[in-house]
Amino acid sequence: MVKIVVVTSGKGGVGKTTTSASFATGLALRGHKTVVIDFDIGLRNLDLIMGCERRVVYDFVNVVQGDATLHQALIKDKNCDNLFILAASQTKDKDALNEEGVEKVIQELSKDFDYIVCDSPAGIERGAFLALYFADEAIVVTNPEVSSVRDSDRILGILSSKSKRALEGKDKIKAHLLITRYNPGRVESGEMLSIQDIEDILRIPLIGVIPESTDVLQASNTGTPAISLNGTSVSDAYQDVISRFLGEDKPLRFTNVEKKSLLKRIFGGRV
Amino acid sequence: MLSSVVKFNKAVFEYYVIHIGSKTKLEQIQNKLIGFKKLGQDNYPIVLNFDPDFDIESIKNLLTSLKEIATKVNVILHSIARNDNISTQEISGINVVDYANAIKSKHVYDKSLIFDEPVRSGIRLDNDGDIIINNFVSDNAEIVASGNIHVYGEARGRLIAGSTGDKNARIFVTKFNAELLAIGGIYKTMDKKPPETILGKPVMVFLDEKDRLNILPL
Ligand SMILES: Nc1ncnc2c1ncn2[C@@H]1O[C@H](COP(=O)(O)OP(=O)(O)OP(=O)(O)O)[C@@H](O)[C@H]1O
Ligand SMILES: [Mg+2]
Repeated sequence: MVKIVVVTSGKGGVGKTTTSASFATGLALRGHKTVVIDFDIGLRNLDLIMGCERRVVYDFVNVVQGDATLHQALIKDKNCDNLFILAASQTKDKDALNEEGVEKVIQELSKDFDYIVCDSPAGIERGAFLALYFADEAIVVTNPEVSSVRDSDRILGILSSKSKRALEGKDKIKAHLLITRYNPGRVESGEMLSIQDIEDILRIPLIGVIPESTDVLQASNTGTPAISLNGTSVSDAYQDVISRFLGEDKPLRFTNVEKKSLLKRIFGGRV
Repeated sequence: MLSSVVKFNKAVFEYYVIHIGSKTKLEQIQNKLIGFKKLGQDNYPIVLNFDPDFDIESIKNLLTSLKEIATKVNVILHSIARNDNISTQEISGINVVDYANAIKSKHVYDKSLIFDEPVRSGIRLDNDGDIIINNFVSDNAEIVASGNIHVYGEARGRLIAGSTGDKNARIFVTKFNAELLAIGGIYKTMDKKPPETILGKPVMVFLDEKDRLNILPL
């Protein structure tokens, strides 16, 4: 059975696209046939992060509007045979998507794929709504700050009241909390909310904590999903998220302040 | 608002009041009266309370049909509640009585809303009656009840009881952390963190005789 997973947050710039790319790549690398769809019409970010922006001929909007077939628009990932990308359009406006069109695309993809990952745009308008409407599970991406947590709460309310599952009275969307851009030092000094603070407010199970790291910027500059930067804490943290999503038990990592060695303390920076 | 059929607290009044609004259907009234009979409550006199949009002529017209129904169902129409449009002592042979004070202070609400889901940010729950939440309420959610509010869980957000003016309404929460409280139009914002004695504790919120909003640890 296909599983439709939306990566959503309400607030902008919290790491949805970074997460969608890594999550889809991670699932594909473990053998699951996965497609990731960019719902952020007008901005088109996912293809950059996945490093396939030069191969976009037809996009999601073309398929929804019947100007191209899915087969023409699906882009196969350069490193992984199990992974496909459906890019957003940069030229169309936000209203180019409609419910019936999106449903048709999702139904067609459901025949071939194990996972459909939907990268939601920020906000709570049409694009965000369509991205979550068909979901079975949701990854709610939250940064450790009050406004982000508040927006995630809002999205959780929408998931449980306006999604297809909610409206049809089916089992609820299973929502997972993913805390990204977590900076243990700033949490310890009280500048940012702690994991516990966020869990107390949102009260959904935690699927992972991704540390704040400059590696992410480097990854997006080179068109590589962060999960593929082997040996970095961000990559390891995203790998743990995949494991937990697939049912494994993994302890949290990278959530405590690293104790600096004596040499580091004396010389600062890199030693 | 008055289109629903509302029951008075029997212990205090010993009669039933039927509110009749422009949208009330004769069929609804008949069903309610049949219900009374089935429950063996037909020995309580019936008081008719017409919405203020009805003028005397339309009340008279309606009474013709209501009397027929009463005869058919075999209940007694006791009296009509006075309002600003009704100045006579009786209409079509039925006495007009002033129930205004009683109606304001001793309202027993028609229907409570029981909610088992979390009430998340941006959600507003509204009920003409009590609201009972068997879960938590998030910051930025809004609970608006014309009656009382009960929250069995952590209550953040805005809690507005007695929203149509009832100053006897109360708010009960098991874990207090609200942003705003209001009863009968008197409100209080909690811009500062509440004191330790009530934060996260079970409390009752009510208006005292001077209309001051009190938060009492339970
Ligand atoms: N763990 C991280 N550490 C450091 N920077 C990060 C991390 N995750 C994301 N970022 C950076 O944050 C910015 C926003 O990330 P991203 O585009 O994934 O967010 P988004 O939620 O998809 O944004 P939008 O709402 O605009 O779609 C990017 O510059 C990205 O490099
Ligand atoms: Mg994005």
